[in-house]
Order: sequence, then C-alpha cells, then structure tokens
Amino acid sequence: MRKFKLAVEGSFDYVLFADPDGMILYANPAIERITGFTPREVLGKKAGTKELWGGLMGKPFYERLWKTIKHDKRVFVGEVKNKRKDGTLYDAFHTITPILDEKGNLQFFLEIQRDITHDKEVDRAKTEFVSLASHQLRTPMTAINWYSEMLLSGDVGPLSDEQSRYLKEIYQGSQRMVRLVNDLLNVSRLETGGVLVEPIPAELSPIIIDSIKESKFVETGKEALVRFEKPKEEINLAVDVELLSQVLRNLINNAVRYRFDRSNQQVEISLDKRSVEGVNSLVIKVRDNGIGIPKAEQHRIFEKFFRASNARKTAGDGSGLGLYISKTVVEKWGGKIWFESAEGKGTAFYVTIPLTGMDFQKGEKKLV
Amino acid sequence: MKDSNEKKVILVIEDETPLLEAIRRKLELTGLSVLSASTTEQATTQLQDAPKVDLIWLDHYIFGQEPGLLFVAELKNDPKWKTIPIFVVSNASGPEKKQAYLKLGVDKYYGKVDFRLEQIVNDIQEFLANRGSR
Repeated sequence: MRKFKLAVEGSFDYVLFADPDGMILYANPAIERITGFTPREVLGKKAGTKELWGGLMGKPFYERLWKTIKHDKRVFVGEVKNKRKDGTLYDAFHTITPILDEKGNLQFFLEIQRDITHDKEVDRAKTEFVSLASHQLRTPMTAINWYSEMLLSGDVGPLSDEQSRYLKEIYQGSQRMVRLVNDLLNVSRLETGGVLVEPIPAELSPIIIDSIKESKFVETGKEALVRFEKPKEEINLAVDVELLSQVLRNLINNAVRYRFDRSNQQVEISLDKRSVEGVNSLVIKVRDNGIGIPKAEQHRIFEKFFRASNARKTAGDGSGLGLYISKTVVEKWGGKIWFESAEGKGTAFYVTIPLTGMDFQKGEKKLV
Repeated sequence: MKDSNEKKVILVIEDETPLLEAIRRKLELTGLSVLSASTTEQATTQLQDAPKVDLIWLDHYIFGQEPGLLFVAELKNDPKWKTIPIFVVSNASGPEKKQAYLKLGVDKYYGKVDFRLEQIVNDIQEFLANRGSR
C-alpha cells in the first residue's frame, strides 16, 4: 500500500479523487505544478469549476462530461482548456474514471490530468510550417501551370505532336501537385482543430446537385452518370454547405474514378432518414458499381495516405488523403461515415448528419 | 486594328517576374494594354500618372507581405479610383481571404493555382465588355 501511495504522490501527471458530486477528496503534489493550486487549497472544493481551474469549456462540454461519468458510469477522455491560479491558460489531456463498488454503485471519481500545452505549441508550429510551405509552393506551381498552358494553346507558336504530348504531362503533373498540396493543407488545418463548422439551414438537394457538377472527375456534360434520387419532400437541415460539399465531391470523385470501364458505370446518391447508433440521422448513400475495396484492406481505408492496391492500379495519382479528410470532417460535424464493399462489385459509402443539424465547431479556418 | 488610345488598360500588380511576364503576354495577346507594378506604392504612382486604368489585377502576397487588403481599402475610399474594377488573383490558400476581399468590394477573386490564365483573361474581357455596354 505504501508503494502505491508513493507512486501516486510522485506522479508527474496530477491525480485527483473526488466524491460522486465532484468534491475533491485527494490531490497529489503535481496539481500545484499544473494548476498553481496546492493540494490543501483544493480539498473540499468542486473539481473543474471556475473557482479552481475549470469552467472554460462551455455548458455542453460539462453536461456531456457529467452524463458520461455519473449517469453512464463510463470513462471520460479528452482534451480540455483550463486556467491556472495565476490566470494563464493551459491545455490538458485528462481521463476521469468512475470507480464503482461490486454492486456497480458509484464510489468516487479518479481524474488524471496531463499538461499538454507544450505539445500543442509544437503541433501548431508544425501546421504553421505546412501552411507556409504550401504558400511557397503555390508560386512555382502557378508558373508551371500558366507557362505550359500558354505553350499548349499555341500562344507562342505551334508545337509538334510530340512536344505537346510531353507538355501535357508536365501540365498534368503540376495539376496533381496542386491537388496534393491542397490536401496536405487541409489535413494540417483539420489536425490542429482550427476548422470552423458553421451550420446554417439549407435545402439538401441543391447542395448534392452542385457537388456532382463540381466534382473534378465528373466530366462536363456527363453529370447524368451520377444519378441522384431526389427525395419526395425536400429535406431542410442546418449544415455547413462548404464542408458537406467537400465530403460529397470526394466520395463522388472516388465513385467515378475507381471503375472498370465507363460504358456501364453507375453511381447513385440517395437519402434516407433513420436512427444510427441512437442518433436520428439523415443518411447520405453514394453507391457505385466500381472496382470495390479488397476485404483484407478494408480496415485501413480511412488511414492517412493509404490507398487500396486495386485503386493504385486503376489511378496512379491519388494522394490517399481524401477519405481521411472526409472522415475527420464528418466526425467534426457530429456524423458518422462507413462503407460496404465487395471487390469487383462496387462500394457504397454512407455519411450521416444528425437531424438536429451539424454540430457547431469554433474555429478560424476553413478548408481549401 | 484598334487605335491604341481605345485599348483597355489593365494595371497588373504582381511581384513575381515570371508570372507578371506570362500575365502581360496573355493580356496583350487578347488586345489589352498592360501597365505593371511590383509594389502597391508603384501601383499608386501608375494610377496617378496613367491617363486611364480600366481594371486592376492584384496579387495578394507581395514580397512576402500582405498589403493587398489595405491597398483595396484605400482605393475604395478614394473617389477618383473607387470605381475601377479590381480582380484579385491570389496565391493565398483557403477561402478566408476571398471573403475579406469581396467584403471590401473587389469584383472577382481567383486562387492562382486553381484557374487557367485563359479563363481569368476571358473573364476580364467579358467583364469589360459588359461594363462598356451598360
């Protein structure tokens, strides 16, 4: 028992016990290093309130926290912004574990908190770097684009067939680089969490129809390839149009790109309202009869930079970032994304939006 | 061939010489006349000296700084210049800058890497033609 005590007292992270109402019963010395309050000062006070280091996260956060640990009796894990005794802010990662007796009654809470302010700063610096690098890349990419474009359109005289074929490769390579840089920039924006989700009530059909038109791999005049089953009654929902369109374009592009041949290609988009994992949701389905995702690779499909083996063969120039970006975005707005797929038959992707609308997320940035 | 006085004049503000060169050539090929500046100070001088400027082509980043927004705000506050249409052609990423510029009253905003030079130049031609026929 003595060893356990020494371990807890010596822990670098702060360790705190509180009764079922959140009154602090014990705090180890690390609490002073992290929050500025001594263990003695915090005893008997309510954890995570304005009186101490908390209260900055807004009501929904604390409601969710208390529901999880007290009502559902589950562990709460997450990042939180707090305020030290001297008024400075810090970022923390914490876990709050409800400790139950044999009968499942709540005895007390155990909270462990780690100061991650420095890690967050390093993270921000990395993102800043990616963002600056991408700006730097944009100027030379523009020069390659515009000069090859002018050469190709004969602005400075005619080209031989071979010359124009080679130039087209340069032009397409540069276009591919532009897409890659945009994807990287979006990843860095999403990963630092600064992306704004700003839902406003909107009709869904026009957003879907526009997304089909704006998808880069849907050729102009061939929009009919992608069939959209308009709902009988227009659905109105609070959505961030830009983000929804970003995800849809990505799914549509994948559906159109990873196909066998264009002659019998079918892509269908349909809407449905139902409960998904206890949340009343609008489910958007994008189904294709393309190459499918091999079973052995399905569990990796949302990973950053991962591309299925058959996708790499069909189109050499994907970044492997589209589905990762889509998943991150969908989860930011409080939705889910999943798929059903059979290799050689096709894939159906499902994306949900809560019928109460997308979750608002504070942020100063939008996606590219 | 039109008399050179009748040619529409575009003032291009762009600090990257290779890009400026391409823009100038493309605009001239379509019968427009081009003045250029690589800083907003030079641009102000050009505006004061030139008999007329029909449209301004403006980059956002100029020598690593972002003077574009301030420059537009100044133009829009000046009775002599506030009616000159402005097309911003920017290498800033993300839509935040676009909204800021449109709010200030610029006519069009393009992301450099996302558009063909041809399209921007065509849009300028069309824009000036519509303006002329009003």
